[in-house]
Amino acid sequence: MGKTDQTEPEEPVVLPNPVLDDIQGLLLRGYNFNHIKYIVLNIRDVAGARLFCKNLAPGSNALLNITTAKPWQHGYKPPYCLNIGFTYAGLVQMIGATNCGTVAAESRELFSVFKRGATDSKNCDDIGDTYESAPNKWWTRGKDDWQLPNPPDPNGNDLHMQLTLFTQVESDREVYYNKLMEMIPVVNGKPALVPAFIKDSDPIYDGDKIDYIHFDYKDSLSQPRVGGVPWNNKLLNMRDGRLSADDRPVVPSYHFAYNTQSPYSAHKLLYNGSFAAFRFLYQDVKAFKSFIGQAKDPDLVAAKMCGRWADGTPLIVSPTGPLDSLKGFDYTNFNYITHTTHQKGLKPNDTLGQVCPYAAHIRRANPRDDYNVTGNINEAGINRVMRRASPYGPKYVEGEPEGIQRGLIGLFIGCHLFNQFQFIMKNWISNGKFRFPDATNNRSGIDPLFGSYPQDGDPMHKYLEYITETGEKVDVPNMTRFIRTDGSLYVFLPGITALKAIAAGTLP
Amino acid sequence: MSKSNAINYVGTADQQHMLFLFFPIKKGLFHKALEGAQLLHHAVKTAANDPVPGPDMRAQTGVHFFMFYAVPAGSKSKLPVTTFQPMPDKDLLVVQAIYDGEFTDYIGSFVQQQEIEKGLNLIVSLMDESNIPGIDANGPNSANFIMGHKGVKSNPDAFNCLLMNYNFADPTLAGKAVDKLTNPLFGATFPGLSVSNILTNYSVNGVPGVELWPFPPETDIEFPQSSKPDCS
Repeated sequence: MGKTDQTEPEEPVVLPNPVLDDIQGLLLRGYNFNHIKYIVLNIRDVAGARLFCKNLAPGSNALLNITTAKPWQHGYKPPYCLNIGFTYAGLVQMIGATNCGTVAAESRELFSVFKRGATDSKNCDDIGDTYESAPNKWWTRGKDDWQLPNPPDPNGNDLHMQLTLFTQVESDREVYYNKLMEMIPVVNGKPALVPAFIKDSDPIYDGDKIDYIHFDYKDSLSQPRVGGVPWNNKLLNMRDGRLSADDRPVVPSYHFAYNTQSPYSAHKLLYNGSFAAFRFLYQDVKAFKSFIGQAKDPDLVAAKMCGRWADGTPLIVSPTGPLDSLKGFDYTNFNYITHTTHQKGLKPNDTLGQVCPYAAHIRRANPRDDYNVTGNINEAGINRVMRRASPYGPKYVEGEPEGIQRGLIGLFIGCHLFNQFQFIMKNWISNGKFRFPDATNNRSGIDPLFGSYPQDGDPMHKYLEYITETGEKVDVPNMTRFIRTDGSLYVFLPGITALKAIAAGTLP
Repeated sequence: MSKSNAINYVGTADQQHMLFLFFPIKKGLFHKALEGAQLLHHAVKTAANDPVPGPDMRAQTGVHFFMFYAVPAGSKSKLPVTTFQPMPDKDLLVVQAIYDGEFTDYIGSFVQQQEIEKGLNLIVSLMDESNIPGIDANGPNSANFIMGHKGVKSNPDAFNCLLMNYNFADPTLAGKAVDKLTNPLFGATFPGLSVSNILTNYSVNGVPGVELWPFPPETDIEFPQSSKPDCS
């Protein structure tokens, strides 16, 4: 590990280009479609499920096909995008336990967390899916989300296949969903697959604001820059419809779509595929607003919690308030220690966390060049996650009745669930001692956007502390839990060749 | 005396754990194994004469102390009772350390670092797991498997399990100040006083630990001779 010199633009790493037409699109790029339907299916008939998957694979003449990462012709977006993942229970049904055992044996480093699944008790303890977030409370808190007549299996064994349907036009969502359902074979008068869980996601409409989450922060501002893909291989890249200087360090594509450049061995089933945590998260906006409302300046506290002002302006770029002048990659061109080439603002060395607290969500989820963060070996490396998540539920209204469900739902993608999703959730977000040295009295506590469980016995997790530029320590007490897990799956997102093998019940 | 400030909660990151390994080493290569250990020590401390010293990793690695002790095959115990006994056809590398936090979480990160990877690969390549009851010398957690599949960097899970095959200590057991009678009884005088807390709390002029224990170490610390009892 060494200090990173960011005085020169980062040149893309030269690696073999990923095989884009064999990789599901969402692994490597965001579609920027506004209307999404997250579907989890239960397999009732394996032969029928295989036929369904065969027809979904690109190249069939079916009603819908899986979307690959191949660039769209002339840049025109299709009316829908569709992607598929399998839980371990689903994969066992599709290819059998023996084949799964073969894959597991040859893919140990990448497969073991997926195999144990999201309901595994150690996984739940590690990432905070306990108490009100525990698996025995998942999936049914929303009124119409759970579709099966029986309550969910607490081990998740009734959830087999996860599909994500994206449309640009809201009314298209039901049209394409109905087509998808039409594709399900009927065997002996019954569908081979039935929906177990369905959730729609739409933007939160609030004037001209787009891409906001329920806590009122602008979202989707910083994703890893994947190496070897045509839309990322220049110093100037497209963002928000304009070319803009892109300082993000390049992350090898094998962290998101497996290939043999990866240090880890894997069975061919994993080639061009990945894993993801499918997360269904409730956001307690009332509790969040109550917490920031204790302070004289709630907007400042909210910014200190996130690391960004509500409009997305990074604190490190503008410590005193939002900047209207930021555009494109300005929102993600920054570091915490040594500034990036095109970083805006004062370009401070924030090694003491006086501008952006160590506690702040974006600093914990991606510490960038802060090499004093425990485990941050390589800022372009092993811990980044590709985030494909979006809001659900209505906008919060002061004084509304209790029990309205809202939050964030989606996929957190990375080939190595342990080093990527689990590592960030456990060691950087949920555990204390994020960084050394740390001058706060509570070792910067935990990630304040997630907040603290009532049962968490660590007094350091009960308040947010940040240090002002004059060295004054400010405590914001009474931190409660702001994000609750209402559902979670670990899914395998196969490459297209692998999908066809799964559809044939075999291994590639 | 007030007890209101007494520490009564120690999170996982500050808990102290023990590693106590007995590695079977190919006969005649015990000294080479010590060279691997020295590489690790060098990587963690980053010696002062490095032209470009890396960042201070003492807090990250959380190692309070360590001991590597190599025993050639056929050696007798140094004491009149049995102690560290090598198998007849193998050397033995004994490793003892107290470290903070959870080893498993960070092993994937540490093995990414070239110097650490190099030291660990050297030690693993010297291991001889043949003819050990209960051990599959070519199994998925074996030294042979790891070295045959691109070393520790590509196999952190397998490497961790290899360690656990030869770890006398329990990695889930935290050193405690007060405990009921257990076997083993693992005590810590200051539970939660992790390396990072030590460095933080020994700050001088607001700079944590640096003046008392500079990094990289610039001079050797002088150790006056300690005495041992006269038992004649």
